[in-house]
Amino acid sequence: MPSPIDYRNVNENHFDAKPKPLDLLDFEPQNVFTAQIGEPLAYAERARKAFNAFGLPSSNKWSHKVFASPFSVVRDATVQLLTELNVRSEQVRSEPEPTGLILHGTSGCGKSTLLMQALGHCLENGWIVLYIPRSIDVINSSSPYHYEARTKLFNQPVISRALIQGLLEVNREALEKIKVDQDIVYGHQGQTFKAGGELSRLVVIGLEDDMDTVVILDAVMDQLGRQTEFPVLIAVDDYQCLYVESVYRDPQFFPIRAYHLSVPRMVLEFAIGQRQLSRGLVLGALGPLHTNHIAPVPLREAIGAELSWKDAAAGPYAERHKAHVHFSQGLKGFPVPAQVGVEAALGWYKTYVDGLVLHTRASDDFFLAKYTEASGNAREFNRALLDTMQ
Amino acid sequence: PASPNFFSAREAYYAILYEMEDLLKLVNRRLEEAAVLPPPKDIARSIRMARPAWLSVMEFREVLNFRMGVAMRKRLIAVLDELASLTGVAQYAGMVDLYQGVSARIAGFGRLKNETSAGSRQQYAKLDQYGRSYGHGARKTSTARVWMIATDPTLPTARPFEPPIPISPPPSSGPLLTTTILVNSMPLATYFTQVYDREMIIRPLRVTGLLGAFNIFALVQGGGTTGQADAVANGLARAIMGHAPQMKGVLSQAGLLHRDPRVVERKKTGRAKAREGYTWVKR
Repeated sequence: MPSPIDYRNVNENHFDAKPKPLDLLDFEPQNVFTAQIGEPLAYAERARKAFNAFGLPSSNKWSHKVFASPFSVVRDATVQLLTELNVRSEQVRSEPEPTGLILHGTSGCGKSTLLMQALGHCLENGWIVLYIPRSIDVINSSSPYHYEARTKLFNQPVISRALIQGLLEVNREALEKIKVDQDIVYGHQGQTFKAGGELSRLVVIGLEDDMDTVVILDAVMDQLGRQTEFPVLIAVDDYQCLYVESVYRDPQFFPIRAYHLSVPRMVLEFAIGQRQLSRGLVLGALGPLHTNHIAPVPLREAIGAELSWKDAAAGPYAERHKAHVHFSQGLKGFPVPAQVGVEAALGWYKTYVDGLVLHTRASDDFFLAKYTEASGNAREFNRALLDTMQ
Repeated sequence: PASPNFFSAREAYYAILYEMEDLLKLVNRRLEEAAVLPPPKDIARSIRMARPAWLSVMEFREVLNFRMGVAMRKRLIAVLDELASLTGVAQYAGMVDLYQGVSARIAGFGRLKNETSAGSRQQYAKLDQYGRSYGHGARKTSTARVWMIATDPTLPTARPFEPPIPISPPPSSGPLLTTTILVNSMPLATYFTQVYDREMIIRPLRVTGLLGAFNIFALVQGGGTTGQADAVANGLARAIMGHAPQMKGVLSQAGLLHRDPRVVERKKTGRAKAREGYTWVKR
């Protein structure tokens, strides 16, 4: 019979190591641009609050479940995108202009993660941020809708309320500093919000019971578009879901197109410059995982994304819907490289090793084998590390 | 006729064969009389390895001017091998005149170590004009053609070859060289979605420690996903032999050079499938 263990005098070599604290730096501006490629950075407090308020995208949620607090590595693409955002934050427009910048690339190359990094960066730099992590939830008939004859759109009050709530939670200090510059009529009884009031007060009114949240969200976003004190980021993941046929049905049981819904329409109009966004941009990311909602040809052509071989072969005979063409004009594309660089993958792998995430003994050969199996793809690399039986 | 061999229609061959067999009997008797046979194990091993490479069928035809079949050559080589090992024993035992006499007689049938003949099959595959090696692999009904090229020709993992076409230097890609694998012109992760299939293909490179040293291009067809993955792995192991022949032991011990012979068993008459029978009915 083995004797019972006396835990006061044990040999440390017989027990697994405790995970050492990672001590990651935050995604703050001074850290990102001086960090080496591959260095892991944690999301700062404000970004974590934004993810709690708005939600997380569905495509990369499993890579965030491994650690208590999510982190991501700095890539070449990160530095490029954040530099571009810094440049755009200085640009102030007096006339409405297209402001859309859409991330595109192969499935699993890291678009959603880049969007989250951009979000964190903008919050740290004092931007006002509105984030729609899953546009699929806007069009999959999971929230109420009703037709509005005035705007000839289908209003989505619950989604609008959720966005107003998120906006308030994340950007309260900035909203308190903005003064409304014109009277806003918002209620069913014709209530007016007088000019000169704080925007945050209007947002708080929108959260009261029985409020027309769609009108209030519209008014708030219009005001944010007019003001020039704070740059505004409208971040939208699964951007192609704003164009396609939604799961909603109209009274004749025809599917409603997404751009006839109030929330997608608002985003699209800011992106193409139909509504003014004086300072800031609409940052979108295509979501190739949703194969029943494929990005239409005009959107892909406008941003320079790859066409499917059928559309490419069809050439001028591929279907190009007028509305898609209209809502794609002026959009710019940001190509995300298909491969995560070796240095970035190495930093990611080392963080996993230090955090004792892997169930395989770590070695250089293991890292290189998994990187090769994934062909450099970010999602496949994560999957190869965690799903392996070796 | 000069000898009874005339009636065999292969006079020259049997003359040489019987002469060698008589010589073998003589050498055996001499060594047994000298109590030198059988030799100790360790010397026997080194003597066996020091055999010269014998002439091929084509070379026999050129040297001795008669046609010889493969089976005929095999019989002759068996005798010559035995003679060569006994001459080694004689040399070790110090029986110099016996050793020299027999060596001189059998030297005519052996090729010098440095010579390579045009007709004989080369031991290992050659690299082509671009420095690529080629391997063919198969599993069930899938076949794979695999080409391997060094990522950095200046590294010692790459075998030297004579490029008539100048190769551009590899782009400097950072601190780590990585292997790119393309299967039917698609990246590995796109073509094979199962993690197991990808691991099968990487295994030859992992086992030999050559990850990052080579880029792979494979064309595969037939069969299903796992069959194609195994075929690529098999072809890849053979392609590695072209660049790094010293890896043969490692690869064969891992079973990667072995073409899995298992195929779908045929259906037999009187049975529903290969093994499954029809429901037995009592009456």
